Amino acid sequence: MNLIEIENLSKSYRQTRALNNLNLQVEEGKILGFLGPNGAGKTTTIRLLLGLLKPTSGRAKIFGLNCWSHSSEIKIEVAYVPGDLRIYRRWTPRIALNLVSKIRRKDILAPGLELAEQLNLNPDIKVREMSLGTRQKLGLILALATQPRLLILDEPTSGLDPIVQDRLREILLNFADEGGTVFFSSHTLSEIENLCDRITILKEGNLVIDTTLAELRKKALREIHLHWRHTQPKFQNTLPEELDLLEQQDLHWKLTLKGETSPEIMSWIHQQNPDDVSISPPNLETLFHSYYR
Amino acid sequence: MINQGLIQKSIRDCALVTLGFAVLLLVVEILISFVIPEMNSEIFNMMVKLPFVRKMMGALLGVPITENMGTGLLLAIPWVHPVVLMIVFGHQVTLASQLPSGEIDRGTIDLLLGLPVKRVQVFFTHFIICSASGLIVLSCGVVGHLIGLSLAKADPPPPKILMIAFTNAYAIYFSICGLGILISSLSERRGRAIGAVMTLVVSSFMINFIAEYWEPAAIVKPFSLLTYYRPLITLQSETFPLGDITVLASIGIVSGLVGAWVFNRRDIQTT
Repeated sequence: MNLIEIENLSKSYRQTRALNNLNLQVEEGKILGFLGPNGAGKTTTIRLLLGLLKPTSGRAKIFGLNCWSHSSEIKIEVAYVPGDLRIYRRWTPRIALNLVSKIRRKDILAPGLELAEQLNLNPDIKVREMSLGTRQKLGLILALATQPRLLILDEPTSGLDPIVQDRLREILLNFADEGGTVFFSSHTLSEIENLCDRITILKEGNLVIDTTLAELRKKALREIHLHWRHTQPKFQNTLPEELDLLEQQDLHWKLTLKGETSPEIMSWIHQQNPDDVSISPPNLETLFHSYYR
Repeated sequence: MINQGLIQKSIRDCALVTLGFAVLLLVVEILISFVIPEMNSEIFNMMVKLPFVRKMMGALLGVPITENMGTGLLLAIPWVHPVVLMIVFGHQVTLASQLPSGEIDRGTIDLLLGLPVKRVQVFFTHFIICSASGLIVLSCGVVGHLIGLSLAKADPPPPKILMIAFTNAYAIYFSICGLGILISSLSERRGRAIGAVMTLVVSSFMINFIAEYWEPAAIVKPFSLLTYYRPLITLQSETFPLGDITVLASIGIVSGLVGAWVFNRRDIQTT
């Protein structure tokens, strides 16, 4: 079942087209990585999903309800964490949990305090005394404690230290395992590489790619390094077309492989009789950057 | 429609500002109400003879000032003293601009509208709390007025007169609340919203002031809010200014409704 359905969604600000005919579906229980450089239209898409912006054309639906006209009903089961979360300066996490509980009409104090302990956040510190990362932690706690069906995260890890980022990854994977859906916006692939089932890349308001990570890996290049200790190597058989020879030094060859290693490739490498071989994992970053350019 | 959490949040947002302005108005009213009865009526009549002072007071009190206007004029001053008006309008503009422009400016609207609440719910909760907090501030003003008069050993005005003056003052307060929140709904920057409301208030005063000197300007007097706030006439005639209060209340209600309509339909951009 599709939780999010976006059809020909466009948004313009005066002369600027921020989003251009976006079509996208997100299945329930999946984690979608929503990628793109700054200004690609990621935040505009999220704000359209949350009913904060009115579409210029097209429509977005969550749980089958229109995001603009049924925004408040949708948000009963949606939680959102913006990238640079601003919270009322005099609030503490405890006050925030209490007030959000009352506004949502759902008690999130106990699960919120539990999450605060897991993420090492003092529940009685004032927001004005918090760093960006600590504010982000509070935003994540307020979102996760509501146990939503859909979690929308807009570059949520800005300011978080690597330990908390790892903890967040675990929490999100558990959340998805339990049937939750995550819409994770980011401008860096590394942030979502080990998290998402599917990725979508936006550029200048247009959808550039919508694929699974496995498919993306097939398109990515791998580096192969062959080393010899003493003997000057010579080509044995012709170079398979999946391989490209980048450097050929005396005792070291550097090649690139497009796609996955196959028995033919392994056999060719064996025929070269190297003393040492290294094959890198698919270089998604390079491929990813090519979509950005 | 009523959301307890939103009410609590709005009260938290308004409480400190309201407390500060209420205490300030209390102190200012004590001082003004204490000093005015002490003022020798002859000195006062001499001051009123000065054309600039007379025009200025006329603009503030909403009626032409003549000599020997008696105690009514003295009693009206605590309700229209420029410092008092600045405090009252300052409080209202500070609160009314908190939502939506203040929340958009600070970026906190993302958290608020990320919750399952309707925009009109958020808007009217804030509008109602702002309006109600005006009652607290003005009540403190009345208490200060009575304390000041009692310290000066002057007779307080009859309760009926006090109630009428209070209602008239609250009506102008409410109209500014409505206009403030309407302008705030149209803006993304709180500073701009405050500036626009203050310009409106100052323009109202300027229209009344210029009309005192230049008769053709009287044509635009109906568009000035201060035209409908005439405590001197109220205190002298002891009649309930139903027409003025109706106009001011209507401005507040219509502005509030238009503000809600605008806020409900507009894009919310914090970046």
